[in-house]
Amino acid sequence: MAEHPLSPRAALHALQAAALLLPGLVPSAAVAQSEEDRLALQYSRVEEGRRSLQTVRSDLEPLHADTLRLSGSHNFNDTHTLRFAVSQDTWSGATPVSSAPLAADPNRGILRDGSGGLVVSGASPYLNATFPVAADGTPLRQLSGGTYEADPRTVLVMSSASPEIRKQVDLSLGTEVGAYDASVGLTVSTERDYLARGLSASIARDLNQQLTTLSFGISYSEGRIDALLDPDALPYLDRSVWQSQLTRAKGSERLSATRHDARIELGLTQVIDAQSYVEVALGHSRASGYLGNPYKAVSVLFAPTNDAGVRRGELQALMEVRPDEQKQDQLNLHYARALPFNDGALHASYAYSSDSWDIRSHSFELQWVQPLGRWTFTPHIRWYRQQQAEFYVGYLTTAQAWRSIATDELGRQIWTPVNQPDQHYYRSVAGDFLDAQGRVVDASLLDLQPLQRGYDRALLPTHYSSDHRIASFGSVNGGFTLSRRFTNGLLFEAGIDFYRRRGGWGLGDGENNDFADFRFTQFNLGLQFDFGAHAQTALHQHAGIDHAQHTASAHSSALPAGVRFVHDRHEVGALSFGYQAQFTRQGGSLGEDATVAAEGCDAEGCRYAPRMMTMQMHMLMVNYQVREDLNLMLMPQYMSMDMGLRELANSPPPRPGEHVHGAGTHQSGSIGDTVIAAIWQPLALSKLQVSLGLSAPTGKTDLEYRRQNQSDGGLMHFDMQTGSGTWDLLPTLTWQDAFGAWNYGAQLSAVARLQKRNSSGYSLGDQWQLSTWLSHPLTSWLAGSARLTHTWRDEISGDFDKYNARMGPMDFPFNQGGRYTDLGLGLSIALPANQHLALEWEEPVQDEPNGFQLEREGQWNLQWHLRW
Amino acid sequence: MVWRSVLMVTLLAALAGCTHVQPWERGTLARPAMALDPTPLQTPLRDHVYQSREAGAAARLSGGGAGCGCY
Repeated sequence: MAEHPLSPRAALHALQAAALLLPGLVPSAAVAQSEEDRLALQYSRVEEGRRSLQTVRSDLEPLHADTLRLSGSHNFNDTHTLRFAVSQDTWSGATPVSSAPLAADPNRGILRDGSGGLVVSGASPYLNATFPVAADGTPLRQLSGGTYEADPRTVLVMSSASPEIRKQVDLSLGTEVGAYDASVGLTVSTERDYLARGLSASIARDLNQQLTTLSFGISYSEGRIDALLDPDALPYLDRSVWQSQLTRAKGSERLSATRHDARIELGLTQVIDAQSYVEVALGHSRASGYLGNPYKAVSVLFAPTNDAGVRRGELQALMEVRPDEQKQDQLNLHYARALPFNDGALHASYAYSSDSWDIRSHSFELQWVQPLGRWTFTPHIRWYRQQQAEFYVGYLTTAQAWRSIATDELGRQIWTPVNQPDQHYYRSVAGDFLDAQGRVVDASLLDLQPLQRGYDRALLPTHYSSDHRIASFGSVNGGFTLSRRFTNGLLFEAGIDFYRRRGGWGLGDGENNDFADFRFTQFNLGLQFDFGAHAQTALHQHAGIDHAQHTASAHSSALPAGVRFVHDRHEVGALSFGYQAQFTRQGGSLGEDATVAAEGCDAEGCRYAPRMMTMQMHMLMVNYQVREDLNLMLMPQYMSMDMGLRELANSPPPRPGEHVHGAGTHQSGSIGDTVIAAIWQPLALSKLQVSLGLSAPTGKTDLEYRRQNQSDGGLMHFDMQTGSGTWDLLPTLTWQDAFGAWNYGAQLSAVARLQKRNSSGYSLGDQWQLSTWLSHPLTSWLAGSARLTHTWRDEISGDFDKYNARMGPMDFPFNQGGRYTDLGLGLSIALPANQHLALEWEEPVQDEPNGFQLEREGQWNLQWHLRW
Repeated sequence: MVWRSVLMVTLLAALAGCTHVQPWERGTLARPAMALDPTPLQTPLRDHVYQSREAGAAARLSGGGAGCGCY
């Protein structure tokens, strides 16, 4: 589950900036940040370092997350500004579920010999153990010879997650209401187990001849949690506290809950002198409802006291319990001062928070913004410290037994007949069994067993959590941002941030939690188009363009959205950008269940079949006109998929050790393959374009399902991998012409795999495609198109050379490829500022798939071009 | 804590009356480097990552500081 997504801060900043509008000056200050039309595309990646498991080395893939974000703003009539942001996170990897005494060996994966010694092969949290404990509660290890050694170390208990996707949309509308700038916004964030919806509103006004700005904001959001608990954890996880919110689902249990978050904030920006200003913000927030993390457990060491020096400790895991309310106060200070050289500035920020869980935090950040010609170099460093929540524990120790034989008020054990649990008998010190009237009974006739009594919850704290994010710790992070502003309003930005957490740097007398220390690195890449600045430079730069070239480009601007590797000829040195997206859905049936089960896999038959699959592809196209007849294109992609499975009727029994990730929906996503292409448009034959692309294997072919039921998940299905894994050649030949108002064209394209095997042992099939289209203007700015496409794709050659669960037809290479015919209907729209948008729906006309495959239900193609 | 902060804001507001920067003296303040958020593209991405790992990061007012965080 991700964070509560509402972000009124950005809206407030924009409002404050707008209110600080400085009359008579070039609007290049904060003001311009909000008032111009702009569009930004960003990619970000976070990679965590490996967590220490102390005595064993984990080979679990550390956590990593990819984020793709598109944001922008549009100004209407100089009075209304619409801002939007759409983002998608995909994350997977190792994540802590709890912490526990090392003496309990809680990371008990299947061990194998690795080059560096014993290696945990996958995460197998095992929070259930019995071991000796000293009289003072310190865990002990028994040495050979019957002696004990104290082992006070605590260790993280790690699990791993299959790829999960979160999507978020933010929209806000800003406007002027009298002397005030007002803004309203809404946010929706959705993922497999969490849906958050929020509203926000803010208002700002400037005073004191625009030297002071006051702002006020409120926000509210509701989160719905639907968390499917790890089925592997059910045998040992005590869930009794949340019993009323748990339901049986998909071979596990689902926790359903809601939370509400409300926030209010007040801001002031004050110009101090001609060189500096200060910004102060106060916030108060209240969260209520289920505020815990359903995937985090607290280890409890049940160790009843006794007369002997060594106690018997039993480790059990309980779902964490946090208070159902959290109130937090926040203070932010930000001071900015201009530096006396090269238009630089120094920003110092301080943030303080204090909440009803007893967490206090301080953070201090310095940011130095230094323009260097068209470049801007912005290094930053940040220190953060927090005090732990009052209910944080590495693990709990309680002086009672997990289970014990129930006794009556006289201390006698209570026994019950196996078939009559309500009937009580009492065992005397002499070993006799007595009934309620005190009469001795013949126990051999009653089939008695001792009545077990669970632990007494009243002896545990009311709230407890081992989530190390609410422990006491400190962190240092630093890095820099480098940006390059081009004269025509284009901004390229790259940033890096290195982060290090240390338990020992925390505030207050918190419990030592050095065992949870980690590092991560975040990389960001961004491209921003500033239409206001572009319009000004365009007046100068584009004035001399040959109009014949504009006419020629009319061909491409009417192109259907699904056509690739065709490009308008621009002036030499010109940059242009494009975005192409594909949304594909498959569903329906593969055939009769019995036939699929018998013939869709190998001799052992299939147990599962895909029920549906969606694929999304987002591609950025950066195009550079090298010569009058030659374009170079760079096309990075981002891929994500969903696949739902169902169990086939009369399916064969599970294979020994088979990983069953069951009939749910699974997701994957990451950066896909990256294509570099050259497009040659002979000057003597402008209707022809020949392109040659090379696809680099930057996508993934080793995405895996998480370890489950003590067995490896194995590689995800072929279609869920985000790359081909091989270097591929992509030649195309395109012909375009016009007849009256009609435009028509044809393209022959191919994908040839240059390698026989990728690192997972297979290569995707080669592909040929022939496409023909016809388009006609409908109005001066709108054109309609029709396109017929025929595709031949080979099956996969080779096969997975690593473990894959072989669950159904989608795991076998011969159920891939085929011959497909599609009819596409599209619209193409000419937009202001040299933009062009095309949308196309492709309807499958005929499918001749190899083997057993889902039916294709159609594809949306979207293409946007910006000539910059 | 809150009241101390309110007091500070009031003091700062009072400070406002003391300085006066004429419109033609505001060129430096209008520099891109002096923007309220000089790295607006990076900030939401970085804040999201901090919020997933720190309990007090909500103090930046850019999120609820709530949710369990996926990481």
